[in-house]
Amino acid sequence: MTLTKSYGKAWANRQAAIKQLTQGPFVSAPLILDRPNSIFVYPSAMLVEDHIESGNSWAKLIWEDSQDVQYKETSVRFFFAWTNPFDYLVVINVSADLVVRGQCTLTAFPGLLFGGWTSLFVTTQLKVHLSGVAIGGHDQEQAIAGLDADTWGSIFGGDKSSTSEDVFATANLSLKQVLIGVQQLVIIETSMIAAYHIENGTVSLIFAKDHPFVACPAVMIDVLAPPP
Amino acid sequence: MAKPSKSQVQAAISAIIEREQREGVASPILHINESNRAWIRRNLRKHLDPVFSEMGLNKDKLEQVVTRHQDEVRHYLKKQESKTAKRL
Repeated sequence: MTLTKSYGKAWANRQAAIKQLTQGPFVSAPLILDRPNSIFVYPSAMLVEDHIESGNSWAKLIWEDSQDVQYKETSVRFFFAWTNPFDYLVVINVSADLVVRGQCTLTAFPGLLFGGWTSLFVTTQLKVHLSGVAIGGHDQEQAIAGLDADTWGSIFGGDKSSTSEDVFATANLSLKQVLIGVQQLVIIETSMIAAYHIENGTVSLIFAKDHPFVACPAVMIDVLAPPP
Repeated sequence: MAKPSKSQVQAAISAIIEREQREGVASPILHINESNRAWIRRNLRKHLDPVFSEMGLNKDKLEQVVTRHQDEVRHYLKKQESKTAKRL
């Protein structure tokens, strides 16, 4: 599905949510999802260890790649499930913190005439999935890190080039005014994505040395519904 | 409607994972920007490669020169090790 199409569906849902809220008074009830139903890591070989516990769910990751590739995505995703227990429509505001702590290292090697080039972008997202429709994500992606390693060819004096960045950040992710159907299943996804390009170089991601690695302790949901 | 079971929740998550593996997770804008940068570099190489050939650049010979230079650098640095250790 294109970005425009998925955004269109999300926009329609938001319009309906606002309409729902304007139809009368509502009360707000906060609730917390303190542990994900599952953690998914891609590629799976990147996963060193994962842990699911109330308020303390995390994944340890190590990934190294030296294959030339125009574009590759790796990701760790936390999935939380919630069902609207009411016999009426509700609107929810969703928020979550995603904590990432690790090191990213890029290397570019010189060829004879042309040098290597490696680049990496680390971003975070929050998505709400409703019956196959994803709301959020792409349009409110938050950047955590962006690195490049670049070098000249050997005959022009190019040498191995490396760049490294320590990443320790908390992304405050939120999505507001999502309309939820009667007893509808809602899947909330928080994710860290590392997307990279390799042309004669290497990418190394190490999120395995210091706690909390990549962690999503909880998801907060604010349920906006008519008063009882 | 009854509360969805654990397996129904897992099935919904699996469907999301499958769709995202197909479509990508990150913003397509990231992919587009990276592809554009890669194309620009490739295009310059495409134009430079024949120019280097026309100039009579013998890649094998250049390769030999660069390898020889790198060997000499390694040799030089090895020799310098003891001198550096003494001075420090």
